[in-house]
Parts: sequence; C-alpha cells; structure tokens
Amino acid sequence: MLMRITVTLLMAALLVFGLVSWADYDFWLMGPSPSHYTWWWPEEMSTLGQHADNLFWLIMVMVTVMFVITMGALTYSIWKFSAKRQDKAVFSHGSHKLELLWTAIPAAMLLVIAFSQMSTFAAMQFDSSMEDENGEELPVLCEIWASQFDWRFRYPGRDGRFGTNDDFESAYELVIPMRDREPDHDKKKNIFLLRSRDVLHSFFVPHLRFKRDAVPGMTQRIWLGVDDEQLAEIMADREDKSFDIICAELCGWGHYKMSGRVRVLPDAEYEKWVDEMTALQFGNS
Amino acid sequence: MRLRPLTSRGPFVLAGLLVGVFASCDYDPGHADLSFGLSETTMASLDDVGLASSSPQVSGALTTLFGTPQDPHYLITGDMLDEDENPNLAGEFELTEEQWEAIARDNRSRRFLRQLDLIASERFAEVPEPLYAGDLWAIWTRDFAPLHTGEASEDGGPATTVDPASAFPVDDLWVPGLPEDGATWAEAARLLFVQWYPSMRESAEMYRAQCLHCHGVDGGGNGPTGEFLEPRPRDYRLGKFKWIAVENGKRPRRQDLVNILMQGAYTTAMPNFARFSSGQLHGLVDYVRLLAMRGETETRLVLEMGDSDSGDLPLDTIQSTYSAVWANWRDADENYVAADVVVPRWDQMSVEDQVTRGEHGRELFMGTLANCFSCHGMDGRGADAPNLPISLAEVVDADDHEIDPEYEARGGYRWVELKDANGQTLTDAEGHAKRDLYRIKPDDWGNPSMPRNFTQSIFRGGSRPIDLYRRIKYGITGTIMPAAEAGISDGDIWDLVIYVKTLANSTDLARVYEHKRAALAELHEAEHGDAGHSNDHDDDDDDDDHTDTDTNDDDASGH
Amino acid sequence: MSDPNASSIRPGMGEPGTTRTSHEHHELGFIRKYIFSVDHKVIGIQFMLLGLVFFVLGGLFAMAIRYQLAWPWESMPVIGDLLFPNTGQAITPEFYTMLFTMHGTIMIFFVIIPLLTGAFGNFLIPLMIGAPDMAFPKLNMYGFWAMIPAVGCVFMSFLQPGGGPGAGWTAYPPLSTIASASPGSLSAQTWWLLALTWVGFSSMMGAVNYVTTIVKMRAPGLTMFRMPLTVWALLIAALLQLFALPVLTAASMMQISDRVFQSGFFTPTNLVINQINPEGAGAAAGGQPLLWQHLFWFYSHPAVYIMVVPAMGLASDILSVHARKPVFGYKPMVYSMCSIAGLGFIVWGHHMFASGMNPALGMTFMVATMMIALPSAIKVFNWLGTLWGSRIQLTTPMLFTLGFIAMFIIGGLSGIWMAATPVDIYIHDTYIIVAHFHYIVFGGSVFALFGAIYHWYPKMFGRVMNETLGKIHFVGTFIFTNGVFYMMHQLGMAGLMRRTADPYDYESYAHLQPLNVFITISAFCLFVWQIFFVWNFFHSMFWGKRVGRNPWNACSLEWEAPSPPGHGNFDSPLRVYRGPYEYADPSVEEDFLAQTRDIESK
Repeated sequence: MLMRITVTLLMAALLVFGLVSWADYDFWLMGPSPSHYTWWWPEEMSTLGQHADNLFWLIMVMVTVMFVITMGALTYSIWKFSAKRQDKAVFSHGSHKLELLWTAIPAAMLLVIAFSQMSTFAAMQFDSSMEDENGEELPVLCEIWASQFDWRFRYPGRDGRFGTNDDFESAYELVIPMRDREPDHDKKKNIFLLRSRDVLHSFFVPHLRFKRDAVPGMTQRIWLGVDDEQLAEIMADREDKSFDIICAELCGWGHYKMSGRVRVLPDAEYEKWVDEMTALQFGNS
Repeated sequence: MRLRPLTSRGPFVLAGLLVGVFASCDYDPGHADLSFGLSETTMASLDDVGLASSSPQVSGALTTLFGTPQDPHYLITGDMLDEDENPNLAGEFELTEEQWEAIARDNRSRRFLRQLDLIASERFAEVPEPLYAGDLWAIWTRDFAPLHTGEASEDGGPATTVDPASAFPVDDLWVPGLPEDGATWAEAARLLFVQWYPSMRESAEMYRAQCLHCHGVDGGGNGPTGEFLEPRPRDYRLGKFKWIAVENGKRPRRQDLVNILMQGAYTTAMPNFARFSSGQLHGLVDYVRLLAMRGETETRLVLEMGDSDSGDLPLDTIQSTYSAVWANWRDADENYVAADVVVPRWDQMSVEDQVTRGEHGRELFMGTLANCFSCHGMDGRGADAPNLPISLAEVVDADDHEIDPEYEARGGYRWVELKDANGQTLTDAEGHAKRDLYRIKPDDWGNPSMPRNFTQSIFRGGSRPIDLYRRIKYGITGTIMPAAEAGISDGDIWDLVIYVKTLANSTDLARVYEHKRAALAELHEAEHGDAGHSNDHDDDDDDDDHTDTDTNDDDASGH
Repeated sequence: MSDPNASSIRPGMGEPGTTRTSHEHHELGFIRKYIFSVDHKVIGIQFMLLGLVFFVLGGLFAMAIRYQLAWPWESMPVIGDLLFPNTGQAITPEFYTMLFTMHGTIMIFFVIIPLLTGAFGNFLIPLMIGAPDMAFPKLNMYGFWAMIPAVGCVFMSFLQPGGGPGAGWTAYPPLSTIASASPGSLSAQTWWLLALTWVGFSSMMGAVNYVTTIVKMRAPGLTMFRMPLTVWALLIAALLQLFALPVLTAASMMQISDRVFQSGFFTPTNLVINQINPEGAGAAAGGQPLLWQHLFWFYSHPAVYIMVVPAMGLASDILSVHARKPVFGYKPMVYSMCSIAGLGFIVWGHHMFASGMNPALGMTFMVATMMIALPSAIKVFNWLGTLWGSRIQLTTPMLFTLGFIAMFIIGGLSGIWMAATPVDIYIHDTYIIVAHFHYIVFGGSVFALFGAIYHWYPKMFGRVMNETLGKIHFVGTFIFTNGVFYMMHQLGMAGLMRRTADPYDYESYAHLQPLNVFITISAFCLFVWQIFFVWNFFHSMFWGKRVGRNPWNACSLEWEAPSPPGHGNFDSPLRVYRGPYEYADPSVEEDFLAQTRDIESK
C-alpha cells in the first residue's frame, strides 16, 4: 500500500510539475533575475522569430495535450490497477480499432507541425530569401569571421566592396542597421557572409533566434532582420542596447570565452557609426 | 559457515551517508591559496653563480615588494611618498577623466545591469552577488543591509524595512561620487555599483579565473594550458609587450594593454575580453603590470646578487632596483609615439596616386634599405613561404645532437632545398634533393620567429594603417622586426603600408568569393539567357587573377 | 517441474532448439569457465560487470562536469590536488573538454551499448528462444575480448599529452583532426578513434551472432511472432548495428588517416590553427568538414536507437510479467520497432539543421524526423494499453519500468520541438538537447536496464535482489533524475549552450547559476543513491534469497531453465505452443500460461 501511494504520488507530482514548470517559469530555483532574463527564452526581436515562437507554442499545446493524456493515464492506471485483488487481469491482446486511432491522430498532428513550419524554414534559409524581386543577390552588409576564440566583423566601408582600403574591422561588436527606412517588413534584411578561419564555430544570437555553424572552407550567405517594433519594446526598459552573440559549436578549450555582442542601430545612427569607424580606421590613436 | 545477511542494516547506513550529501546544499567551495614562485631562469642563473641557497632572499624581497596572489600590493617607498604617488590606488590616481567615465558607463550598461535593474525596482534583497567583486559585495552586505527588506535582523528582532527613497546619514558609509546632501539610499546603492573599480585583490581573483590557466601564477606564460598553444602566451616577466604604441623596447602604456584585452591578439589563443566592464579590464591591467614589474625586479635582483660576491641583497639595492623598475612603468605614457602623424586617407586618394605610392612601397619592400623581403619573402608570405628567408635562420648540422626536440616540435627547424643560380633544385648522386636544416632564430621569449604572412590578412596588433605604421617605424619589441632605418622617411613608411595592405587585399577571400559567384552567374546567364547580354561584366572580372606584386589595380577597382 | 513434452521431442545434436544432454560433462577449469568462457551467460555477465564499472567512471566524469558548472574554477575535490597544483586546484578548460568528451564516449560506447546488447543480448537471446547457446560461441567470446583493447585504448588516451581527447564525443573535424587545434587532438584523439574501432569490432561480432542465433536456433514451435519483444528488439538493434557500423568504422579510419597519414578528407584549405597551417606542414587539404558529420551521424543516429530499442523490448517484457496481462498489441509493437529501425537510417540530418547543410535537405530530414516520432508514440500507447485493466505487482523491476515509461514520455515529447526546424535553430546544442537525450538514455535506457537487472537477476545468480533496497533505490533515483534533467530544459530555454565551461560571464547566462547549483546537488545525490544498487547487487549475489526457476511466474522460455542455468541452458527439450505473454488466460486456472505448456494434449 505504501508503495502504491508513493509511486502514484511520484507520477502525479511529475505530471503536475511538468505542467507548472512551463506555466510559471519564474520561481525560487532560478534565483533573483531582472525582467530581461528568465529561464524562458529571451525576448524575440527578429522579423522571423515570431514564427519560430508561434511554432513553439503550437507544439507546446499539442505536446501538453499528449503529456496530460499519457501521464494522466499512466498515473491513473498505476493507482487503479495496483490494488490488491484476487481476480485475473483483463485478458486482451489488443484492439485493432484503438491501434488505428492512436496511429492516425498523432500522425495527423505531426504532419500539421511538419507542414506548418516549411515556409518559415524556407524564408530563413533558402537562397531565394536573400535575393531581391529580380533575382539579384542583395548586397552584403558585413563579413563575420569566426576564429579560436574570437568574433571579427569586417565591414566593406563606404564603397560597399570588400578587399579595398576602406574596409574596417570590429572586434567583439557586430553593429547592424534596423532598416527602419524600409517600409516593407519582409525586406528588412541584412546579408552577411559567415566564415571560419580554423575550426567549426556557430554564430548564435538568442534574441534573433538565429544559429548557424561557421564551417571552415565554406562561405555561407545568411541574413538577419530586426523587427523594429519588437526592438523598441525591448529597448524601452534596457540600459544596454546590445545583445549576446554566443559560439554554439565546440571550438576547443576556449569555447566558453568566445563571445560577442550585436547592437542594432536606427539607420541614421548606423550611418554615423560607419563614419566613426572609418575615421577610427584612418585615425592615429 | 553461513554469513549473516546485512541487508537489514544497509538502508540506515546509507541513509546516513545521504544526509551528509544533503547537508552539503549550502556548500560554498573556495580554492587553494596560490603562491608566487621564482622563474626557472632565476634558479638557473643562481645555480650558475653557486647561490642557489640564497633564492629565499630573492623571493622574500619580492614578497615584501609585491605581496602574494592573495594580497598583491606595491610597497610604498620614500620616493613615492615624496611625489605623492600611491600605486596601490592604481585606478584612483592614474586613470583619466574619460577613462573613469567609460568605466562608469560600462558598469551601468553591462556588467551590473542585473543588479541595477533590481535596485531600480527596489528589490534590494534579491540583488545577486557580482562575480569577482568581493569588496563590492562586502560593502553591500555591510552598509546596505537595512535595504534587505523583509529579512529578519541579526538579533532575532522583527524584519527591518527602510524606505529606499529616504535620505541616509552620509557619515555612515562612503560611496564615491555621491552628492553630499539629499542623496537617497537608492541613489547610493546605484552609485556603489556604477562607480565600482576593482581592488588589486579582486583583479587577482579575476586573473585567477580568466587568465591564470594560460599565463600562469607568476605571469610567466607557463600555465597548464599554455604549453599547448602556439604562439605561447606572453611571459610578462620580461616587461616586454609586442602590440604597443611606444618606442621599441619601452614599457607599454596602460592603454596598450587595455587595447589588447579589448581586441584580443587576432588568430592567437588570446581572445578579447570585451565582455567585461572597462573597470574590470583596467583592474586586470593593474594586476598584469604588477606581475610584469615583479618579474623584472626578480631578474634584476638576481643580476645584482650575482654581481655581489657575498650573495647578499642589501636593502638599498632592493629599493633602488624597485624604484628603477617602477619608474619605467610609471613613465610609459611619456613614450607614446606617432600621436600626431597624419594618416593618408587613401580611400579618398586618386587611383594614380595609389598605384604610384604602392609601386614605391614595393620598391622599398624589395630594396636593401628597408630590407623587408629578407624576412617576409619576395612574395610577402613570410614564414609560410616555401623557401624560408635565410636571414631568419642559421644552418645547423642535422646529424648533430644539439637539435632541441621541443623547439623542433614548435616548428623551430626547417629544411630548405638548395637551388642553383637558375632556380633548379640541386640533387645529389642518388637523385635526392640537397637540402640544409635551418634553425629559426628565437625571439626574446624563446619562440621561433615567424614573420607575418601578409597574404593571410592577419595582423595581430591591429590592421589599421596607423598600427602597421607603428610596426614598421618602431619595430616590434622583443622580436627581430627592427625599427625602421633613419634613411626611411615617413612618406616611405606610408608607401610600405599601402603596399602591405595591397598584398593582403589582393587575396581577400570575400572578394574572390564575390568574383566567383559573379562568374558563375554569368556562366549561367550565358547558357540560359540571351547571348548579347553577357559581355557587360567582362572588364570587372579580369582583375581577380592578378595577385600580389605586379599590379595595383585592385585598389583602383574600389572606386 | 514435469515436462509433458519430453516424449514428443527427439533429443540429439543438430536438431534446432533441442538441448544437448549427455555430452560435455567434463568440468572446465576456472579460467575456461569464468574468464575465457564461451558460455553466453558468462559472457553476458562479463559484459554487465564491464558496463557497470565504466558506469561508475562515466558517472564520476559527470560529477566533475556538474561541479565545474555549479562552482566554476573553484577547488576541485580529490582530483584538484593530484592534477592541478598550479591553478589552486581548479580544473583547466582543456580538462573540462576532456571530461564531457569522455563522459559521452564512455556512457554510450562502454556502458549503454555493452549493457543492452552485450549483457542482456548475450544472456537473454539463447534463453528466450530456447537455444543451448549462441550460434557462434567462440565469436561471442572474441566479441567480449575485443572490448579489452578498446578499454586499453581509452586509458592510453588519458595518458597522452593534453590529458585525453577534447573534441566532444562527436569528434567534429577540424577540431579533432588538426593536432594544433586542441590539446586533446595531439595524440589522444587517435587512441580515442582506435577505441571506437575496437568497440565497433565487438559490436559487429555480437550483431552477427545475434542475428544468426535468432534466425536459426529458435526452439521448435517458436515462430518469429511468438518471440518475446526483447528478442525482437535485440534482433532489430543487431540489424541496425550491422548496417550502420561499417560507416562509422570507415569514417574513423578516414579520420585516423587524416590525423596520422595527413590525408585531407575533412581538412579544408586555408586553415590557420594556432599559427600552424596544416598544408604548410605537408598535410593534404581540400576536404569538407561536413562530410564527417554526415558519416558520423549516419552511424550515430541509428546508434541512438541501438541504445533505446532494446530498452523498449526489455520494458515490454517486464511490464507484461508484472502487470499480469498480455502485451497490448504485440504486432503493432513489432511493426513500430521495425519502422523505427527503418526510418532511423534516414533522419541523421536532423543533427545538422544548423550546420550549413543544404536547407532543402533539411526539409526532407525534418519530415522524416516528424514521422519517426509516430512509432514511439504507438509504443507508449500500447504500454498504457497493457497497463489498463491489469493487475499491477509493484515489484522493483515493475517500478523501474513504470519510471521508464514516464521518462520516455517526457523525452519523446521534447523531441518534437527538435524536429521542428525553426525551433530547432534556437534550441540546437542548448541544454534542451542535453535534457532530451538524457531523458531517453538515462531516464529511458538506464531505467529499463535497472528494471531488467532486478528482473533477470534471479536467472543470472539464482537469488533475488532485496526488494526493500530496490524500492528505496527506485524512489531516490526517480526523484533525483527528474531533479537533474528536468531542470536542464529550463537552462536550455534560457539559451545555455552545451560544452560551455564557464557560462556565467555572459549576460544571458549570469542568472543561471542557482539553477545549476540545484542540478549539481541533485546529480550528486543521484550518484550517491546508486550505492543502494551496488550494495544490493553484490550483496544479493552471495546472501540474497534463493529462488526456483520461475520466481515471477512468467511465461517465456528463459524461466524453464534452472536458475542459474547450467551449461547448455535447458535440462529438458522444449516445444513452444504460443506467444510469450499469455497472462490472465481464463482457460487455465493459473494466472499464467507458459509458452511450453501443452494444454490441448491433456
């Protein structure tokens, strides 16, 4: 009897805890934290991040339903059928109808998830997402170099071309324009070349919901777009206007040291920053 | 004989063990105390003069002067008192106004964002303990304890609550930068975090966590991770640093070291530490300077000791050595160079000018006056060139047993094939290429000298024109890269800089990549699109195959 | 036990499924009997002891990892004094990379796979199909002894400069192939690859043996669809190994070749690593790092199923016995395992959504990955169906199996986020992944393994393990496992990356330390709690309660043999009349109807 109660309670506790932990994610285990960072994912500010978050919630709803059904059934059966009794169990080898039912329903749910994400994934990663209406490639804003254990961001300077004398480098801090002059939400794209000098690294910006490995020997075109409304909301109660860049692929003993920041500026300020950096490039300090 | 079953007692024994584990929930680990040692060179040179037994004198003197890793400090000498200096308050008296402002800004914006947010929302009790800031936390818990609203006071009385908006008695605590009157608890709490500058002890703690595993306890570049790195971590004890803006061989400015912390030394294992506040970085620089001075003092004391016959270290010798070392570092700012040169804006220069100046730079590069080619090679590939520039190295006898295996493992030896006047490889009777073994000369730290390969576009000390200018004009401290000859004018140096940047730019991967894609697109268009359209970009594509030395039109195409 | 079938079977050699009775009565010496034994039961127990020893080692590595994450760069107990005198006893970053690399390697290749396929595969297959031994007993012995060079290679790798491999258990090049890239890649990585190759040999010999034995040596009347699900699961795992292992072996040979002979399969041009350009040092280049990822995951994704499918089989058997009810939907269970195995070969790309692989491939792998969730769901529903209307006996094996189901539900459901590419882009390589696969591998496989050890222990040693201790073991393990791994979901949601030695300097991570301290304390408790198991295991070996052939009243064939079974396993010939799960059959008076019992001829 003791064991019966214990096991049932354990399972029920897991069920309740599983639900509570997702519903209320700011409790004592976390320790003190200001509003920006909880044990949930950080605020989202990219043009596509909302789609990822929505997909997350869609899956969350489905998974919660399945979790409650299965864990509930498990907990209930443990309590119900572990009672001491003399009669035999139900003699049954299965049910064809039930099998069909619980194959078809999850299959349908999984297919819904699978197909609902395809367009987002294509918009995130396909080459066509980095072209303009005429199929021409959009110009590159900046070259992201990963190396052990540093991020370097190389800008083409005023002439827009790499490998010329007005290129300038920024260590640690990636600065990108908000593209607030561009009215079309879907066109607020900044194109980057992602490269590695030595081993695999991964360019991860939690706030932008973006991650891509930097593979040595490969040049990858990637794009990031910032949703200015979301950004304004986030910036409203933050003193610091920049966000973490993290290396997400093991790159050696100093993996944990490989950090950077991304700062998003309104277009006008971005232009000013480029001027400043150019002045610094040819400065004598 | 049957053994009695033990199971009945088992659970209780084990439960006891587990209680022990649970009791460890409040476990707060510390770390073992570190201690400074003497360098291997010190011990070797003391051995040479038969004074090994006197080494405690040296280490004792060093402890008196510089303290221990737990309590690092400078000994205050009479001279310092006369001149009103206190190096133990390094930040207080050495930093400029702008640097202080930067520190306050960084602390506010990044390092203590979390704490400041909580203070702003008046959740004082939840303010988390900052990393590496023991003193700050001590002040917080001692002086701001009343702000910990809702917690029972120590004597068991009721929980104290202080209105954080109320003014507090200024005499009770001291927060730098706080206005004398009308300040509130909340303002004071805020300022405490914003104005924080780490003490030497806190910086030593941060050094332990962040730097020590490469640079070692003494700053000798010999931490456990250091031995796997190439180039080796800097040995501070020589007092020499490479990426500086002072004259060759002089001590670095504080700002030079901060720059390295902010930028890292690119493509080496030294990353940037820009994620810390500038206050913390300045603090780290304080501690690195202490380690460097300690190492220099150590070397000089050993020399003094060897010079004296008795093997004693008189007090005034120690003091004069210490003062001399300290003076070098204190006056580092005075050696700042190239602060007022005008950097040519060659992004605004005409194409003809660039070509002319680059061509002049090339002549200098290949000439015997500047003599760049003798180390960096005719093609600018430096140590990566297939034929090692011979001025870098000396021939050694391969069969000789004097080859140092450790130096060899670090790429310190190189086989070079012998060539005749026509560039043909010489062969011996059996048809094998004749070759010599060269030993690459070491720099001051004992690392094989590796002249920069310009075509990789990697410049560790910075890639701006002014950085390259400083490297050429003043050389690189501690290496075989010399300062420019007096016969080379500033204009010549700028032409060299232009030429070196051209070498780097012409193999630029992004540019090669863009060209490749353009060529592919064109090919695609030629196959699928109308034929008449495809000639438009031809002239654009021609320049990517011309590399290195023969032309400058790569720069021209930038306009 | 009387055998009603004795007269109907012609005893003798060569007849499949019959026992050799009167032969081989000469006593073997100690060495032949217990060390270089060809008896599948001894080999199984050898595998089990090897696995348990390495379990402790891998667990200690995990504890060291947890210590560093809770209190980074603080004095490490015990090993601090020995290994790190110059850093104030704090571990070094390269040692941390070694820790998680070897934790993964050991737990996968030296604990889970040997315990599941080596120990239980060996011990159970012949017993459950009524065979006297494996088809190739000597090959079986070689299979175990091929693990010994592997163990040697692992220990050699610790002795290399750099202190052990540090490229992660996935060993992604160029970090793993270029010596200057990481201290662990100097020479330790080569030993690591050799160890992997030896483990591969061992698994391969085992797999050939299992497939042959299961196909050729079943007792008369034991059709494929009368086999216990454990045997099915082990058959499927063996087939997975047969088809996937050659790829891993080839890949590790390629990596060895890159490292030792300086070929360039995985080395692209223009690298500068630690001042050294591999091409300048004479190595070939022009390779592609992604090639390794494809090859590696082509093996390692099926390996994930090698690690969980046998556990599913073991759990199904234990569940049915202790719920006193036939397995619900036997054939769907078999089909779902088969489809897991089939789909398992075309989903490897879901480890590479963020790797720079062609995104069109990502789409395909995403759909396949979604579909592989389906058979797992079917299995869970069938287990629940088995429980429904059953008569649950809350014995220790049953408790662990119930724990297994609960954990598998959580681990399986969290996998759906990973299959959804836009979400996976965010959670890839975060602690959510760590939580997910630990729920499957620890909460799933290890719980099933504990259950299986408690369940088949009487068959192995003729004594049962102590039930009270077993229950205490279960309750603590269940609580602490969730305390450790559930919390990792939250770390992952906050974006915490795996393999980060000291995350707290990042703004995004600084607030995660209290949670990590909690996890670490849970992990320590979990580790210490296993004392109950270790004590119970060795204590019961000598002082446990003696039991007869069939202490659980189970139907399947292994319970027909004596406990422990002698050489040749069965003392009387067998004939099988029905499936393995005929519990609660109303046509007989007892609660169970053994597979060998002939009720019609009575």
